[in-house]
Amino acid sequence: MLISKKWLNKYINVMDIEDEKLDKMLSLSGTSVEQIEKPWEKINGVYTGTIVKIDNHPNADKLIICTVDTNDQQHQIVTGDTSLKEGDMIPLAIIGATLRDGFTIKNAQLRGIPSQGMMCSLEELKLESKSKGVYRLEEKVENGLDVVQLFDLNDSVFDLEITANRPDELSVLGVARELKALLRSQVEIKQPPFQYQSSGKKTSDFISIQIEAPQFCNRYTGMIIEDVEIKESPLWLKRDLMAIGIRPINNVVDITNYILMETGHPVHAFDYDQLKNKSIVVRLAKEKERLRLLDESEPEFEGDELLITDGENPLALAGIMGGEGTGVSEATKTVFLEVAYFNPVKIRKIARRLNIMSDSSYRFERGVDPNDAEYVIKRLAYMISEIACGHPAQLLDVYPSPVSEKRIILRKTKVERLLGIKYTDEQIEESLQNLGFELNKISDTPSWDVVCPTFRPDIEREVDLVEEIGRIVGYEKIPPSIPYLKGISKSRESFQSFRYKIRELVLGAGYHEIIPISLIDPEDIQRISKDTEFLWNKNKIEILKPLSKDMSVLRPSLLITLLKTIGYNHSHQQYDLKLFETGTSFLLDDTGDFQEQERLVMASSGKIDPEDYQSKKHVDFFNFKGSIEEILRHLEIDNEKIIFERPKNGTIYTQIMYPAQSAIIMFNGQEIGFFGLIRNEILQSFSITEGTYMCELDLNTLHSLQKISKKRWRSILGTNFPASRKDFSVLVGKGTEIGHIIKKIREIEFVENVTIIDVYSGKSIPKGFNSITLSVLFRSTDHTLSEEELNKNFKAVVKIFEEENLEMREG
Amino acid sequence: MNKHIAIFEELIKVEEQALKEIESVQSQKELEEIRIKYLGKKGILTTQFLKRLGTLDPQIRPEVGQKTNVSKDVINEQLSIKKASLEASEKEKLEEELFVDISQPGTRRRIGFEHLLKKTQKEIEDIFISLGYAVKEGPEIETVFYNFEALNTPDWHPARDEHDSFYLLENERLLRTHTSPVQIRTMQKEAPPIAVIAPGKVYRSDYDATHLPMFHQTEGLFVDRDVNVGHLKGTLEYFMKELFSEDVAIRLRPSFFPFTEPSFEVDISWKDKYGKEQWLEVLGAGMVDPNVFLAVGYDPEIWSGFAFGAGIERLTMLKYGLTDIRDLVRGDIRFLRQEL
Repeated sequence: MLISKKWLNKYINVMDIEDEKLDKMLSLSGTSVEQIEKPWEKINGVYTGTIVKIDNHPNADKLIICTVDTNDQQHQIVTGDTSLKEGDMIPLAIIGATLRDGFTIKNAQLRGIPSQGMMCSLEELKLESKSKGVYRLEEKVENGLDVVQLFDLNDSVFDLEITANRPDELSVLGVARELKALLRSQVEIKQPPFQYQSSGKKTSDFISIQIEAPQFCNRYTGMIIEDVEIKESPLWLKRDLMAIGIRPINNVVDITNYILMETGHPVHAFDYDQLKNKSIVVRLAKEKERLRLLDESEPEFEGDELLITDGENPLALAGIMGGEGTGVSEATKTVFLEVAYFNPVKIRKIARRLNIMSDSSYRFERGVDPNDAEYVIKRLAYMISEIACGHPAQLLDVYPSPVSEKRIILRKTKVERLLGIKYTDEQIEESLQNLGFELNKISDTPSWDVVCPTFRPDIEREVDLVEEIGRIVGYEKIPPSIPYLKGISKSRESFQSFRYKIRELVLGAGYHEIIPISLIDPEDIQRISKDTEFLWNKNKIEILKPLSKDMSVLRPSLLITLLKTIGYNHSHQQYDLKLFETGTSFLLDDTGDFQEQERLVMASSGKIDPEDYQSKKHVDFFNFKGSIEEILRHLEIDNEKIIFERPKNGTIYTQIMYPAQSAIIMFNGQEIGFFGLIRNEILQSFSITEGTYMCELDLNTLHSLQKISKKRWRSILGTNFPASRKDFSVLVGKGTEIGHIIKKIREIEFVENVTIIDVYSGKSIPKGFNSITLSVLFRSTDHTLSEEELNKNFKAVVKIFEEENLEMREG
Repeated sequence: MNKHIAIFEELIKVEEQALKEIESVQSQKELEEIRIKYLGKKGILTTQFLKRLGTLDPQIRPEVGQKTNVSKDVINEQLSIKKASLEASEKEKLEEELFVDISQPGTRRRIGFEHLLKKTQKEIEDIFISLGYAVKEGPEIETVFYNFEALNTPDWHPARDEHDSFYLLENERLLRTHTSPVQIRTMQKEAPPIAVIAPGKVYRSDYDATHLPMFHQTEGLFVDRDVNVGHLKGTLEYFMKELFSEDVAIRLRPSFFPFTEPSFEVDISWKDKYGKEQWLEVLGAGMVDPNVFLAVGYDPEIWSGFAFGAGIERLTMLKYGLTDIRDLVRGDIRFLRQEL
């Protein structure tokens, strides 16, 4: 909210206080100052002047030549405003002056005649949004006065962020009250005048007011003002409004805007002659009823909107916006003023549903003071009678069940216990009294009976008063101390530690961590499959009101955001990536419930070690698998139980990966993850230009397995006995799983380890076969193996090869 | 006598020959061969002179024996001189061979970089663990009850506007707008006293140069008897000093959140390079609102507490001097590895 310092100064003296000091004072007490602007800062070199002579322009009918006296000098000015007359007093921008946008006035020639300056309109002085011609001063003053001083343009405008609980501060008077408390000043706020001359007529003789929805409209105060003269507002009023960015329209409209800003209470002015039924009925809308509003929208109502009607037709959307056709126009003679109180929740719900926000709804939905309606309408009447010559009738007030002031018991002990510092009774009393609270000391106890003003709907409990004292006295004096709780619970849950551990392993394996936004484009899923029955398409979770389509769906899998990230890098010519993420994916389950799953995903594309210029190897299935195996080995699970299964065609796995190079990682019949080579068409659709392997691990399952299937650690019992190594080379073709063979060899007695030491294909190896060399290590834990025992074991290995129909090659 | 002279001449020749060979030798191996050739058990000096002594004229035997030994000594001496010289040159050669340009970059095997946000998050967790806090987590899809209602933010509350929420089910389920629901979930499960922090992802419908629709927050909650604003101040001051540096000061600026009363924006300060004090808003905090305690069944007359919520992105950007929040979500390898 914008607040003009000059306007504020009408109620409390602030011109002597530096902007910076005000800023700090407000900010440290809860009224955040976003910025301080000086709207007329650029205006310079404009002085009052009187037109002493007007001559016709020899070369142009539409131009005249004025001689303007600015006391010390006479200026020859050529202008197009032919309505000017000798004797008019105008603001003159002399040579070198700057106007609203920093525009500089220079010597000029207009159709051959020199012009030494410019006579300004209010638009050029940023005091109006659109002007018809040169401004003529309302009253004669001395020539040569600086317009910046004269028009009060040396102003500072504070942009305040008022928190949702402080509707009372959404007004100049509210800010003045706040400052009074902060300045601890004995100076009373200068209350603006409201003693108007009533015509003696009764508003009720003109119009009737009826509240049919009292639960949503506690109070409706109305007043007729006759004989108004609709015209332009005086300069000071225009200035005050323009300072805070409100466009002047006409005097009555400007006054209603002025009063809204001054008091924080929204008001509405109807053109009485446009009200057909001469009655006001506040009621709920009927279904399908419509009203064309001032912003030219025409919402259709659902049936519970609060309306101001004339008994039949809607006139205004209560508290939010007036209707078209009944507002004040230049033809208005008699005005009907409305000052009402509407239920905040109701106004908020309607404004939100219809998506209309106005200065009025903004205040009503935060809560205005129902009890200031009489003052506000009198203040309006005063200003309209002063400025628009109107004759106010006696007000008509419908206030069936008046709101009374809340009373709260405030204990000093509570204040001190919660804030952690001692206060004097005077500090407590002064802070609250300056804010408008009434305190009655309860005898013999350090406590008060506090009467809360109705303009503070946020104060409901003792703790709310504690906050007021804290912020007004200031928090900087409260001594800091660190509380410490020991042994309440474990610092990290076991799963959190597990997650950190597996992250460390993946980092060590060379993978870089990413944290992409979980919101994706539904098209990203379609890049994997357009099939509407595809699980990720079918069970995706959509955001009801997304920011944009490309962030309208929650990712059903971390693989999608990982693919997008690789694609992003590739399209920036950044290749050879190893990336990973731990995070949440989202899907609907079969019952339509929202499911969150925590996963770890890894991807490797391009060179394995881009910074290794000696080995330029690219990632392949075995290299990628090796990383995963090594990571799993470091977890506290029994790796003996892990097996790799080839996914079946037609599953989600083969939708993403080639079955020829992919595997599901199983543990005791339970899936813990999968990995493999991503299909080319998917890579292409994500702009990925290198072969990419990806892996997904289910962190929750892995963590729970770690609990139930702990790895057994073995001691080196007797391994000092010598080992014997024997290498076997076999031809392995499609249809044989070497992993299975290795497992079988491991089961032979005295076999300590089996490792692959070479895989060869090429010359002398039949097509479709690999020559695989296995190195088998034999050792007994309690004796040196004899020649005989070794031979027996070699034969056992050979027998396995024979059983599997594998041809052995001479090593 | 001629015969006698002949053997001496022969000895001289052999010695000369040996010395010549030693002189021209290139390796220690050849040198050893020469040693064996002349001085070994089957070497020339042994077989052709010493072992022949018996066949010689007894008169010259002592002289031949003595002169042969002198030749042996001479050859031995030359051998060891040559050996030393060969050793020295071989060492030199090895050095020559080993020499590399140590400025040439290594063939690196990359180790992954931890994401800066996670790094900061872990650091924050550790700071609070050192104060006795437990780390808690909660779901990212929340109910309106946990995200708003239990936090004293009923449907009509204007504060809900500031939380531009992503709803998944109208007025029922949404992506959590803060990690504060974890406060409620923790208090429902556990009895006070409580000290927890809850880091995690949160979502708000906001996207520009300084806001992401998904970001990370750390919620903190401390509940005990007689917890006051001073405790909040002390804890947050410790937090900031640990995370940034000892020079950092904090200040509490009153603000409004529905779930705390009083509420604060917390600013940290440091001296800029001109020595001027700068204040920057880093987190929101306050004393737990009695209505929040009532929602979880704690008696607000007995228990009091403070809570705070800090944006991890903001803290990370301040700590590492980042200027564009989007760097944190793009996954650009140059940023991740800081190779820019």
